[in-house]
Amino acid sequence: MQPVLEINNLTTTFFLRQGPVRAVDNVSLRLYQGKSLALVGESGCGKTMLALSILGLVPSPPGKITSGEVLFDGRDLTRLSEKELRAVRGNDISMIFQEPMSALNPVFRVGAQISETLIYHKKLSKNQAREKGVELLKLVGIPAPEKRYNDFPHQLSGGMRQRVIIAMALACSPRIILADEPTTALDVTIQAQILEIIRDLQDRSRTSTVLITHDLGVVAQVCHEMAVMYSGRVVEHGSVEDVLAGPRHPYTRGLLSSLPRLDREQDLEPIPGTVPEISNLPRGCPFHPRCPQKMPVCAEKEPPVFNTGSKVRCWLYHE
Amino acid sequence: MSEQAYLQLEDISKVYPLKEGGLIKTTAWLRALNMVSLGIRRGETLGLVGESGCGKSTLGRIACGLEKPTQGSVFLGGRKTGSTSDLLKSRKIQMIFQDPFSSLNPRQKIGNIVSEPLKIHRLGSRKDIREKTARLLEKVGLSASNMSRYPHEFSGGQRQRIAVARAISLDPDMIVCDEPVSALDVSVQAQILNLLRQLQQDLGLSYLFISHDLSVVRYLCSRIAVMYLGELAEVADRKKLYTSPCHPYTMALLAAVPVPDPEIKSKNLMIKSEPPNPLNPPSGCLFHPRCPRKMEICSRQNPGWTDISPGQRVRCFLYAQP
Repeated sequence: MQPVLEINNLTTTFFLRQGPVRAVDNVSLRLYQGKSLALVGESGCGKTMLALSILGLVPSPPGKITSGEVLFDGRDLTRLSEKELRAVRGNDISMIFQEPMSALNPVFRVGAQISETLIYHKKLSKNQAREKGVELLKLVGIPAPEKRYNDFPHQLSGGMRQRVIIAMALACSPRIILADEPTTALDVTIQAQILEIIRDLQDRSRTSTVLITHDLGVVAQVCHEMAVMYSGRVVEHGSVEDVLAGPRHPYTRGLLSSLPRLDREQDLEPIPGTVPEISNLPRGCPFHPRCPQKMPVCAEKEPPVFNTGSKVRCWLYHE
Repeated sequence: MSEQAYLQLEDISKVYPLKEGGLIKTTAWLRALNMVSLGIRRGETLGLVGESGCGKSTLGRIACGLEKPTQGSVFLGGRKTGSTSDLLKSRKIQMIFQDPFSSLNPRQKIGNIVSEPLKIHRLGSRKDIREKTARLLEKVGLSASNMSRYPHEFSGGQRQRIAVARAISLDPDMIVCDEPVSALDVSVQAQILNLLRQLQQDLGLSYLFISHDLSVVRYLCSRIAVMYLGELAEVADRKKLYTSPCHPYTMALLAAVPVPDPEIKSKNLMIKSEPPNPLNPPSGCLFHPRCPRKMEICSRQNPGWTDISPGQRVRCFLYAQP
């Protein structure tokens, strides 16, 4: 099967005063139609930067994509001009941001913000856009959508705002949705509903999603594949079933054993230490200072990808 | 339950005036808490869960004397406390806040932050205080050499450790933890949860643990109170709450939690996922507009407590004895 999106050896570098820092380091991933890929990791691991790199939204300067390619529809998105990228953003690939309050413009009615994309990309008239906008609000489960269409963001609750953001992302029926922590700011009950909407979209309109999250529970709920990131690198990549049931990288194992769970009672074994500063990474494998299974080689050389069913970057799997 | 309770909250209500436009005229009253009674025993961890805006933080602030209840009283070790300052002066209850970035003064050195409570209460000479501060930092897993550093030099998890050190500086009996780990990354969150457990064992602390995360609460708490729109819906021992929840709201909350197992899907059991406006609460049982099992009586009357078994009480007509 042909992937919808193909990321090959993507590296995004930030040129800071203390020197160049690779926020995304040599990442290769594929996304297939109707499938969902989770990018998992702790804050600062580069998962959001990877999503921004796909859409050419890396703050520049100081950031810049320094190597690799992002293939979509036979085109390399990293080589497109700003104008060409604009035709892709919101139209073919759209993004759901984490903070529903800051992603909406407080001085415009939510309806206007939804129809803006439709008028810009699909060249709809104002009335057509309105009709479609109300339909979208209904699709994401907002009660009384005709009335809500004319509300300002502050008149809506957090869950409703996030649904408006999702409606905006869906407006042009994109082929790919990049969702950055879409439910982190929400209560579990509303989260469950938003996850249902995302699942439904995957099944019904064959939309592909990249879901960025730190919550392994959310991953298990909606995703097919997952990539675990640490210090800008993908350290483990495989199907959600495989990775959650049999994590291979010591970091993934550590994440799972530090997670309190509702479905079973287990003592937590946290990963010792803290995530290293990306500007001051240790030599060799960036995880080795915290790793319970480190070997002499880990401090020397960075491990390549080993294929063990899942793809793992760890010397433990070196033959 | 009340006979051994260390901190007993009796019929606590809290009403906030809302002032629209000017600062003088009150246009509406927000009922944040309504007749909440809850006891916390010595050495236990009581979890308080509910959706955002249900009043759980307000109850926590009343429990440690930061806020005065509109109605109701607080008993500490069996004695009624006359005013909030009694509670504050008793030094027995301290608090840890959610955001370790805003709860530490960025212009103060760590040593000062941790020792300030000791200085305010004039506990010991400067040398004693210095030594105690060093011991406190080591107790929470930081090196005493950090005393002259500033909060911005620390990560989120380390800052939360500093907040914990400050909270235990006055040797309290109880700590109110208001979402202490929800701003932290998973691997660091587990470190702080284990630290709280360890301190409880070493110092015999009681915790009132406020959280929206039912998985975290399950890990740490021995008893759990579920709160909905300023009222308690169910209070139960951990095991009972997670294996046989009684209130439809508790069931819905538990069903909504995403579990890291692709076989178990989270569900939305409620009719409406949005909580009602607390300015205009529904009649009868507050949960009835969202309840999948509502009956005719639910919209007319607010249910009283029913004891299901020792250690599990619920407010729901489904279990009311005729």
